[in-house]
Amino acid sequence: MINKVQEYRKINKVTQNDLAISVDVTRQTIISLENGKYKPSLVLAHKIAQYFETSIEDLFIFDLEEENI
Amino acid sequence: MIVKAFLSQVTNDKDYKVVLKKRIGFMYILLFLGLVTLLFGFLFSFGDKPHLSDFLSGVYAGVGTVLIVSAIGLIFRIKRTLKDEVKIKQERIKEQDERNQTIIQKSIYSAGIVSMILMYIALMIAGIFNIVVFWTLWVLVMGNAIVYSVMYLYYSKKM
Repeated sequence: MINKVQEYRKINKVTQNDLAISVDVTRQTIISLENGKYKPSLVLAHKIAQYFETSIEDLFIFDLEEENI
Repeated sequence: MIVKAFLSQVTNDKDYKVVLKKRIGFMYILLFLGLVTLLFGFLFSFGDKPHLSDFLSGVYAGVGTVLIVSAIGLIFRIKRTLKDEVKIKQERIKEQDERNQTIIQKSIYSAGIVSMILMYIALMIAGIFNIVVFWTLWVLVMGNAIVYSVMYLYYSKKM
């Protein structure tokens, strides 16, 4: 799964720490998320999408082959 | 009470303060356990087998001391956190962070499997040398398996 969290964060000039506090996670979680090491839960994905005023589908792109869909 | 003090999922600082206060109560129980362990250590020193008495007395005294010091340290830490709103939020986020919780769950799962295997090996070896140790480990292995089965059924129905 590819995500555009870092891209959206830079466009909106938001630090990792600010985003982390806004969505109630640690900065390390945001770092792992942006690196693709951690897949967020539906609730966290929704919170981040709401924070950037976009949809989950715009923020998180599924790799159909990887997810076996 | 233990579950509510440590496993509660809260979404705001007000509810988290309640969890922290419950945790202080649990720490007092830990402190009491530490004192009881220390007492056992003291009583063991009067045993009729000097080398065994000294060893067990030392083990109990050490464990009891660690429990007492840890409980007191944690009580002070929680009380200090409760006075600082910024710290409350930081601690809540750190504790309830989903990535941290996933890491803890996976670690406990792996440790549980490895522990079961090691206990089983120890049980096999103990059976050769000491029947009391064999039965103690047997109860632990069976107890672990039963608790796992019960919790699996519980969470299957709950989720």
